[in-house]
Amino acid sequence: MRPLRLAADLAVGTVVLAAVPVVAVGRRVREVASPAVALVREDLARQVGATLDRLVPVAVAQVVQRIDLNELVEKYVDVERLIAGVDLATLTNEIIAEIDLPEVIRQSTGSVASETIRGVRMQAISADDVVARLGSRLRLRRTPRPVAAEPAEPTAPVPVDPLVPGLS
Amino acid sequence: MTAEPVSPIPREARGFQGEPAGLVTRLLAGCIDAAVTFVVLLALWAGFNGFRFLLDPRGFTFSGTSLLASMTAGLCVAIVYLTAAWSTTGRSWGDHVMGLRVLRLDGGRVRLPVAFLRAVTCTLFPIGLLWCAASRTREALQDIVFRTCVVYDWRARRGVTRPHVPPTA
Repeated sequence: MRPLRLAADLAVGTVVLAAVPVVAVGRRVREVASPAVALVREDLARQVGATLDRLVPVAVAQVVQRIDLNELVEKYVDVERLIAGVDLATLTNEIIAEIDLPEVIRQSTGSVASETIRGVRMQAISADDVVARLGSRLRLRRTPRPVAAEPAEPTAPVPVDPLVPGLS
Repeated sequence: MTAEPVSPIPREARGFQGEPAGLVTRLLAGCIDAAVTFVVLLALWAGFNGFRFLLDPRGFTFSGTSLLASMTAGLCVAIVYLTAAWSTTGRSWGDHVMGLRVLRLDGGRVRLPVAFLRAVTCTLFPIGLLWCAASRTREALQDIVFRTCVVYDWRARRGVTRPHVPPTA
């Protein structure tokens, strides 16, 4: 038994010793070859992509020509369930707001009188703003300005500007 | 997800809704209301004379009008008309034409006693309206006294939105 065990140990040792350089060489080869492999892989992917770009539309067109999509949808798609998942009220309101349906109706059915009233209202609102601005300007003039502390040294005279309130 | 209601108000006017109305709009509304009052007064006078004509067609002559009686009748008509309008829909015919609404400061409908007192003061002391030109919050004297406001509101019915009245200084 002893010679047999010795032979087995020797065989294992030989294999281990032989494997070390093989692994080291393999690692080195992988390091050197990996950029080249990556390049090849990219090139291959590009070529496959270009081929698919040409082939897929043609293939899909041929498939679609040979099947009835409406029948497929009727058979396999639950349209009512899809519609039930959509908030139709919100969607409708968004569409109406986007196309400004009230304005379309107003323009198509509105009378001259209603257009005139609308114009008068908008003009009056503008006039209100003008009057409010005038009022606020008057209020600013009548509000007493805070008294500044007396300067330590005499300063240059303040220029008189009739356009700026408070400087006139 | 809640559905936003579609606004029937023109785009350019939407930003003003609920804002306090200014002097010019309110003056125009007041002029229209004065015209309405005059027409109602005229109709009442014509109706009164028609009734007299039915009673005595042969001896009928148009009833004479004195200035004092006409003014008193006009004031009464205006007060009744404005009280009824402000306490129900919140807008008289003039307010309706100009797109205005009279509200309480919290956005609610003006109650009958307040509407009556406001109508009395607006009719007897219309010059108080001029204060809204000087007021920062565009309030007439009647608004300050009775805690009301007049806002732009082009909708046909009163909404639930509160008026955008800035706080007084």
